[in-house]
Amino acid sequence: MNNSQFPSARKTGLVVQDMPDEVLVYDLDSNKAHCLNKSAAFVWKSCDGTKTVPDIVNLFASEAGEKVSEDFVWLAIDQLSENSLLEASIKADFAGRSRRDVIKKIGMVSVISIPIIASLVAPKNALALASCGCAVNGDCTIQTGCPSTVNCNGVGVCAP
Amino acid sequence: MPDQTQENKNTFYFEAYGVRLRLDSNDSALLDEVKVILQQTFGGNLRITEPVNDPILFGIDREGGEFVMYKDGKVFTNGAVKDVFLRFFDSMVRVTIAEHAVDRVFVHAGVVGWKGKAIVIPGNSFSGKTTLVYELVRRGAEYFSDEYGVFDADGLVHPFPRRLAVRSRPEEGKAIETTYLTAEEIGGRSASAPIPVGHVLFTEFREDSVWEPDSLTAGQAVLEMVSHTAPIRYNTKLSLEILKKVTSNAIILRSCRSDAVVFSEFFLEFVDNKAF
Repeated sequence: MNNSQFPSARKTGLVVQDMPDEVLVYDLDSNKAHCLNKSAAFVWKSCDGTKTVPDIVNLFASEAGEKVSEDFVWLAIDQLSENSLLEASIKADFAGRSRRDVIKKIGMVSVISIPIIASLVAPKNALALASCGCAVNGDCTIQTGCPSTVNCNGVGVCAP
Repeated sequence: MPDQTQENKNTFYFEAYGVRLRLDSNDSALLDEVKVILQQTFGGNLRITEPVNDPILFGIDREGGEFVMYKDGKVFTNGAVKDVFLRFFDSMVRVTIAEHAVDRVFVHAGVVGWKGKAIVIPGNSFSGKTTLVYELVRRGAEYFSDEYGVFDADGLVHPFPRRLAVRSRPEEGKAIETTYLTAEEIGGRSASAPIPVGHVLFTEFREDSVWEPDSLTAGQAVLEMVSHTAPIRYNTKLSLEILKKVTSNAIILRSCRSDAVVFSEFFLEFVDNKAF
């Protein structure tokens, strides 16, 4: 079986939180959070390793009642792959077109939202949230937002 | 500098939000002073305990003319000015508890209550949270926190009413001065009970900005809040579950804001009129 024909959603190292119309996925390996909109989430959940892209197109029609193109599904798979949310990386089959061209084309004909995955890296630790962000010893003497201009401990925290 | 030794140490065990800590010091008077500071910070949420297994370790020693802070037995920082040093120590304890709290999720945010619902303003340090919270409280909003939104398993936000840390405006060549004030000292009142969240506001000050709010979905809001959530790496599952509850019934907006004095008055009217 060729992985690129039968995409499979990654199952390990993720914390998944279903939202009313979206899915939040937190990648414990990269500490990145992803927000999958309804369309991207549908494709991701359909990637069970047994379905091809045309199968997922048909599933959209039968389960979500929406007619979408293969480009539409590939657009989701492209982003899922890019964000390491598939078991194996898959190169999207856009037939030589750029992702931007595909988005344009889909956007003009699709009645449902194009698949979108928004991502963000979580802060290193709680200390980073409370810090001024000074990275170099002495930064606190020139950064006006620091609580102290006396000293900086050089790890991103204005120390006394 | 050497690691902290255990010779001639005075020790104090305490617990807050399910996090167990031990504080060692070679100076009993300094330790007593710190106890008072921590009790002011955490109020009824701090409990002095008997010795416990596997606490998080902090130490503060007086060495010569300066103060040294240890974390997990290693030197973390040092300073010569006691007040500044102790404020920094207090903030490190808050950060540690925020990250490791057992049954609460701490989100870096300013929080006020308005007519029974909370307005949560997520943002990192130096993002203007305190300035906006200060003005909202002066206009009658109930003070919850200028630092952390503390959320329980039902998504309710609890008061974390440390004194507002009001910073002076940055001026060339001048150190920032911080003044600590209670809500009552600025003519407001502190909250005493948890409430549900009505609004989540992602905002920052921009000169001459116009209020043009985007409405965010709950998923987009959770994604934005991840970057302000203290235990997100330490307790991811609980964090996401609680953030979902926080956002599920809230109105979530993002826009730049004008000066806090003008904006606070406008925003409370906006909330009342639900004019968007």
